Order: sequence, then structure tokens, then C-alpha cells
Amino acid sequence: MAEFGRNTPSNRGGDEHSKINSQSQQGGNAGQHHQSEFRPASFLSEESIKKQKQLLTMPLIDLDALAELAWDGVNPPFRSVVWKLLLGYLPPLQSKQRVTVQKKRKQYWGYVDELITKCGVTDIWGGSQGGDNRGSDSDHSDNDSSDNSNDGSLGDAEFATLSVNLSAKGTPLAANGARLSHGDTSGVEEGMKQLTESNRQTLRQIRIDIPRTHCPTWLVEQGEFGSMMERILYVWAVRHPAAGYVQGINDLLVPFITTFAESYIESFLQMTHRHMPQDSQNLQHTATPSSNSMRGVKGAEEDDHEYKLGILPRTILRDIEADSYWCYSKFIDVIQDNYTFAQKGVQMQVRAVESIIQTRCPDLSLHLKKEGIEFLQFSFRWMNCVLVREFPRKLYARLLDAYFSKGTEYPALHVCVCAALLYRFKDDLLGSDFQDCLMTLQHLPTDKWTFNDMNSLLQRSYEFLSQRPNLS
Amino acid sequence: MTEEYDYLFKIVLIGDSAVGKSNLLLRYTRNEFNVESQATIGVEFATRTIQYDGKTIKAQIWDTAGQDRYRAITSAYYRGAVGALLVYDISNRDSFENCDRWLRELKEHADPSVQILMAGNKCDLRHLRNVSTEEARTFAQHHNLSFIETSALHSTNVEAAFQTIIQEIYKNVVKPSPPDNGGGGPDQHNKKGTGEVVDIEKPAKKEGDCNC
Repeated sequence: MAEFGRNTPSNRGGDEHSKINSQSQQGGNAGQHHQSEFRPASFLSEESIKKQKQLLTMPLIDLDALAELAWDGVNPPFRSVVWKLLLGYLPPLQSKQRVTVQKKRKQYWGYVDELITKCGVTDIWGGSQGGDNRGSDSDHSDNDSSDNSNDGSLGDAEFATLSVNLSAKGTPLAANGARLSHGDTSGVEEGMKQLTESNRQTLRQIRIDIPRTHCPTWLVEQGEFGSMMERILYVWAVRHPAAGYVQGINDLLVPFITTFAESYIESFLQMTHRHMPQDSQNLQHTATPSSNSMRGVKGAEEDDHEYKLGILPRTILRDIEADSYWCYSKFIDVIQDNYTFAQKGVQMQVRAVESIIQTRCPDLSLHLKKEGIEFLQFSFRWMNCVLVREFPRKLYARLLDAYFSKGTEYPALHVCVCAALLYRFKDDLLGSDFQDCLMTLQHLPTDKWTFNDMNSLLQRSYEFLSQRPNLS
Repeated sequence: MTEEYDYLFKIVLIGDSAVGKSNLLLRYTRNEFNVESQATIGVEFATRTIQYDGKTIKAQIWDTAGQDRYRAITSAYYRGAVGALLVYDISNRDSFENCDRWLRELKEHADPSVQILMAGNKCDLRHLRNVSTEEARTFAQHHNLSFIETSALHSTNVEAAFQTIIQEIYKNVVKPSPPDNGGGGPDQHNKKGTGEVVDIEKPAKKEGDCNC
């Protein structure tokens, strides 16, 4: 695979007998002390899960082998750590992971300090104040990440705090919650005085868009989530001035935050509730009533899993945030052209899809032309948001498994996935006029899709990809 | 599947982000309002067919993204538009001040005969009002635009806004001032006067848009 800026791992000098559970210490769930408790993901065989587990427990992880397995989907409990590995954030040499990650987390919080805290930008979401009622962590200066921002392993104090929070069935974190809501944008200007006009504009747009992010409502209503989103998006935008903040890239951050947060939350729940029924320990299945009440959840959506970020100690939230920033960066740095002026990357990708359809599905190509439909009209969002809006959350994570398995070449796969999507719906499209085609394409009927549907889509995409190896 | 219609009008919704363009469209085409509306990326599309003057008119409405960055691409969507709803948020002064820029944008990319209606949306947020009706009306008159205040949330004047723009387009297309230069219609700018703006204001006042 083409690597996301990774260095070839060196065996020299590393701690080769790293602790066997080091993955879980890095925030993943692949550590052996609880991975066996997970039921297999419904879309993977026992055999694949076993292979993934085996790979992840090696002192030096074989990334090519991991990428190959990830193409078929990653067992959700391993996802956090696998994504971090495939994206080149976690080094494959396990003994180096802790130090590397600590350094990166510190670096991120350094950016936050420099670009946000020192510029007097205030938190309008209430997420940063959440630590007050969590006891052990009263320092809000955010400058001491090296001490606080740990490697993901839990200290006793954190455990105690967590238990208290859990027994309170989830602290109402967003008590002062997201202050911006739909229809009311009056708070967007808070604490921006010291920023340059262009940065102010960036932050304003981010603040307007956070409540309108493509994610479950229960998540967007949490103050922690808003605060994390704002800092990550703003730091990325300021550090990538050619692109800056573009509407829709906020949607792309969500899978990282949720995947990493879920991983921690699940670890915590398992560690503190060893005696809970097996069901409640499995993140991958619809929450049972018992696990619901344990998490302080009311009325979880079908097959979606509500949780409170705020049950996590603040240090852990900081780690999740830093990890999300780096992995998100690795992901969108590759497609930065999509977000620079005139969005040339988007236009090129749209043309690539058009050309695949022309050769692979000429009748559809002709039909769309005849109806006067331009590819840009419906596929702009597919490119700008890398299809995140087109699939249910869990299926999208499965799609990202495949994307990340391709390393920095994932945009070529993405283009083929878009073409395969059109191919999949071609019968509907061929029987529809301009209006119905566009209506179908802008609300693809994928909400009832299963993992099998996603697998067939990926199969078709792979077929397209292998016939156009030079796509980019 | 294809419905019959006498006229097809392409109308674009433009204006800053988060002024409520998508919800105006949702209210008009499906009589719904989405509190959890997500930012529009690229364009979205919806239609509604109405009867007017004994004719069946299909309005094909394109909802565009509001962020600056998208303008390079969204300008392509102005092509063929015969009407534009320029939306601002009465509680957001910047969104009103940016109307000037949006008008320039339209001038640059759209057909000169495009009919424009300026809509001050979210008029239900009267405690947060930052743009007075008078000020907006003056601006509209100055630029020869029709003007109305709306609330997609309370369903105030949404029908009236679209009805108005469709009627204006219709008048422009069906009874063009000479010479007839085909489907595109005549240059509109001389024809439209302040009288027309006042006319359109009437339904807004009658329905008491700002007292909701």
C-alpha cells in the first residue's frame, strides 16, 4: 500500500518485548485483556477476526498484511487502532507507539495553545468547562499536556472518577451545552477579537456549521463534541491556509471522533463493569436495555449507539481529540486539492467518474446526457464530503476501512466507488427523467443497506479500479 | 413519470450560509421544516408544480451552498435560471450586507433578465432582529428587487415569496416587452419599477409576517 507519510519501521533499539496489551493503551480496543470479550462483528468471519487479532498482537505489526485484511472490513473493536496504524499515526513497532503518540498529542495541544488559547478565543460550546464536575482535573489551562495527556492507560484516579460518573448514569455534560442552535447564530462572534479578519471568518463559518454537522443529534448536542470539533477544524484550517475551512469537511471529522471515543468508552465500560452481561459489553450490537441504562441513554436510535463523551475523564477526551486531529489530517491532506480555490480536485474526480461510466456503462452515460444531467450536479457532494453523507454511520466506517487499506491512493478507489454507486442504481436511473434522477441521486436509498450491499459495492469498485490502475 | 407542464422555470436560492435557504425550499416543496438541517454542499434540487393564469408551471428550484469557497463551482448552476430568491437572515446583519455581493454574483453569471426577489428570512426571531424591514425595503427598491419577509419555521409568506417570483417570471416570459427575444425574455431592468416592489410588499403586510 502507499503509505500515509510513514517511515519504514526500524527494529533497531526498540523495546521488542512490548506489553502485549499495548494497543489498548494506545486507545484501541485490540489489547488482549478485553478483545476476547467482544462478539464477532456480524460482517466478518471468526477466522478474519482471529487473523486481525493475531496481526495486532505482534510486536512489529505487518502493515501490508493488515491493509489486506482491512480491505474486507475491520472488526469494529479493533477499528480505532487499525485506522491509526493504516493512517501512519501509530508506528507499527509497538514499543515505539507510546512515545510517538505522546509526542504527537503534545504537538497538537501546542497548536491549540498557540492558535486558540493565546489568541483569546473562548469556548462557546461548554465542552471545556465539563471538567469541573469530574473531580481530579481542575486545570483548564490546556498547557500541560505532557503530564495530563497520557498514553491512554487508566490511572486509579481516572477509574474512580469514571465510576462516579457512570453511577450517575452519565453526567449531563452539555448542561450549558451547545450555545449555538439552528436559527440563532448570535453567539458566533464570541472571543474572536484578537484574530485576523480571515481567521475570524474561518472560525465564524466553523461555528455556524458545527450544529449543522452530519452526525447524530445526540452527539452534536454535547458540549464536548462542539468544543473538539471547533478546535480541530480551526487548527487544521489555519495550518492549511491554501484550503482553509470548507463546508462539509466538518462531516469528515465525525467518523474519527466517534470511532476513537467509542473505543475508549467501551474499554472503560468493560473495565468498570466486568460483571455486566456480555451483551452490554459489545459495542457492535444494538444496545440492550441494560446497557442503555448503564450509559444513561434514552431511546437509542436503531442500530445506533448513544453515549456521553462526558463520562470520559478530561485527559482522555484530550487524547481522543489529538488523535482525531492527526488521523483526520492524514486523511484529508491527500485530497487537499478538493478544498483549495475552485476545488480543482473535486472537478477532476467528477470527470474521472464520468469517464468510468462512459466506458463501463455507456447506456447510463447516454441517458444522463440525454436528460441534461451534469455529473457535477449530483456528485459534487460525493467528492467534497467523500461520501460520508451517503451512507449510514456504520457502513461508512466499513467503507473507510477499505479506503485506509489503500493508503494515500484511496482517492482512486473513491472515484471507483462513486462510479460503482451509479452502476448499482443504473436501472432506477435509466427509467427516470431529469428530475427523478436528481432526486434519487441526492438522496440515495442506502439507509437500509446491509454490510453485504457495501461489500458488493466495494467488489464492483475494485473491478473498476483494477481496470484503471492509473486513476488518481 | 414525466408530468405535463406548460412552463418550466429554473429558480436559484442564494444567500449566506445558515440564512435558511434549504428550509425555505423544504417548506415550499414539502411543507416541512427540518430543525436539524445540515449545511448544503454543492446544490440540492426540488420542484413544485403550480397553476397560474390557467397554465401549469413547474418550478425547478436549486438550493445552493452559501460559503464563499463554493462560488467558483456554484456559479455554473446559475445557467438557465430565470429567477433568483436572494435570502438573508433578519437577525444576522452580515447576511444582509452581503446581499450586495450576491447581486454582483448574479449579474456576473446569470441571464440579465433574471427576476430577483429578496427575502428576509427568520422573521419569527423578532427579539433578535438586526435588519429593519424599512432598511431592507429601501435596499430592495434601490436595486429594483421585489421584497418580502418570511419565516420558514412559522410558514409565514413562504408561499407568497415563491408565488411572487413565479408570477414575475411568468409575466416576463409570457408578456415580454418588445422586441421578443425568445425564451430568455427581455431585459428586465428598465421595466421594473418601485410600484412593483410595493405591490409585493402588500401580501407580506397583510399576512403580518413580523408579528409571528
